[in-house]
Amino acid sequence: MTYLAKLELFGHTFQMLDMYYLVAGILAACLLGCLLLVHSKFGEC
Amino acid sequence: MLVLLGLLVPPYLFGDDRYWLPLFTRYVALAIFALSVDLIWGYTGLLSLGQGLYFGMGAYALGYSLNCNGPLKRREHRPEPSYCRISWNTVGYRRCPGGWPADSYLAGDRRGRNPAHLGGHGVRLVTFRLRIRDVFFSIITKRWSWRRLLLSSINNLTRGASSA
Repeated sequence: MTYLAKLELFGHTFQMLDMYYLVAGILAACLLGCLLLVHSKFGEC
Repeated sequence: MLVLLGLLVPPYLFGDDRYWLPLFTRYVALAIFALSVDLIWGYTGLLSLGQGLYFGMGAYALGYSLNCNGPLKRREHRPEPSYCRISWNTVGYRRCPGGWPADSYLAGDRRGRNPAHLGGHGVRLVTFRLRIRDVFFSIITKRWSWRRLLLSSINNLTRGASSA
């Protein structure tokens, strides 16, 4: 897991605080996506 | 909204702490996984006993890809492991469909996500087309995850040894 703590993406190195904000941003996007999904017509029981 | 605001608390508390901040980064990554369990079990009522399968497939494929032709290999200057003989890069797959070099992290991420993505779509098609539900869905997902575990740990048919 030593080298996986660093991520190079689009010329930017995500590490430590940047990495946390990246993962937290993906989580927030997934959360909002799920909220939209369950409140759309696909989420109607 | 409170959950989203709560995500800002760890950086405020731990700052540049090299122990706690990476730990909370992993917790947040696992929260994405927990969100998927919540969606499929809590909302649809389908108990998926193989929910970790796709999470594990993505991690396995990403690690496999990085180990064979990613930054891990470049940094450690080590010879190519024998199980990399069939890796996509060594069979002439120099560039990914998106145009990224095959040895970049992003390419590894694409290859890591693709098996999980395709596997998820396969299960989705079978589940919704055949309207599988209740305990049958649990049994099938359990067997799918077990089959994938065997494929990962007893793969000497193609790679000469276990790469799990």
